[in-house]
Amino acid sequence: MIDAEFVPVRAGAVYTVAIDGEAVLLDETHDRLHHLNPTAALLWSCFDGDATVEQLATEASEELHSPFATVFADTVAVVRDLVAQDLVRDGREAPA
Amino acid sequence: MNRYATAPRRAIGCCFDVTLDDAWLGGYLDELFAALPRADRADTTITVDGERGDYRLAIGDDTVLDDSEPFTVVNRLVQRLNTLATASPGFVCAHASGVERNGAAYVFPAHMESGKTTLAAGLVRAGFDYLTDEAVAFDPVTSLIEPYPKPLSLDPGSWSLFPEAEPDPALRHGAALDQWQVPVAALRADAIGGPCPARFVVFPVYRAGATTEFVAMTRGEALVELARNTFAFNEQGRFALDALARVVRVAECGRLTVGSLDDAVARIEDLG
Repeated sequence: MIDAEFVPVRAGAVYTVAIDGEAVLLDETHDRLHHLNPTAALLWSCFDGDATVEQLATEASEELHSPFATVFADTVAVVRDLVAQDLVRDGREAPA
Repeated sequence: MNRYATAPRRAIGCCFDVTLDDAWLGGYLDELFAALPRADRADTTITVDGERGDYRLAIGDDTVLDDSEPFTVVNRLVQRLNTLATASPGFVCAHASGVERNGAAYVFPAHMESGKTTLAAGLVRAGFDYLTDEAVAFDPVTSLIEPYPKPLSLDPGSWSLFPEAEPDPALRHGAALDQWQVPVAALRADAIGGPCPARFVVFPVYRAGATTEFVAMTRGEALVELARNTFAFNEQGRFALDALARVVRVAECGRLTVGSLDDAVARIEDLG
């Protein structure tokens, strides 16, 4: 469940290459490659293990001058996708 | 008995020669590999013992084939050479064909059966210089491509497009061919490209009857696709990803749906 208090933490063995505002992730645990669009790449770069989804969305909506509700929904969708691919976990929980 | 030895050649980083009992086949192999750069000496020795219809192919002490016809030996030799070449240390090798024009490379990464050899052959015939039809080797420091101008391996579906490239009938020795190995000189003389940077990275896919079209893609998408078409990518990991990123950052990238070879050649010419 991705809620406002979810704290995105990047998985440990993921190598990031930034390219033209996008990102390519190499998941060295599972030998998988992932492509992040500019929105996902921006969020990925902000996952510091402290900020919640709500805080990230607030910051992004101010930066982008976009409605909070829209940015929040986009942030949740991105985080949900990254969690499904084992690239992000919830920092409130102990690492597996 | 005197043995024939081909000239030592370099396949990316693999220096090899072939020693044979059959001088006819040796001469044929010399012509077939003539586009590869000469090497001072061979580190890998390939042997073909026996006579036509009863060849034994070995790489070092490893017997690859026994009791074989000429074309079987030639095809398997080219396949094994690809394996040796793409394992060359010091390069990041993408499964791709490539051509050069005006000092810039056009790289076509793709899986088997995507038409990358046919596209490269068509472009060479149209005036582009040949780099490879199988493995584009990137120097991870300079990002320059090391040419690997092996014989082009044409599958039966493309034979009618290149009648001038039909191999010596003696290779058949009564059997049916399943692939042509075509020296680039059979398509056009003096058509070998030199080391150069990639300017275009284009992912071709052949679809019979489709409209030929080029669609641009982002460099991020291209980097993922290029990495997925790189030999032993997982073994090289982030080192290879960084090397490929340096290539892609200065290249234009896209997908090419190929319905007809002539149209595909025209689209590629339009890019440059």
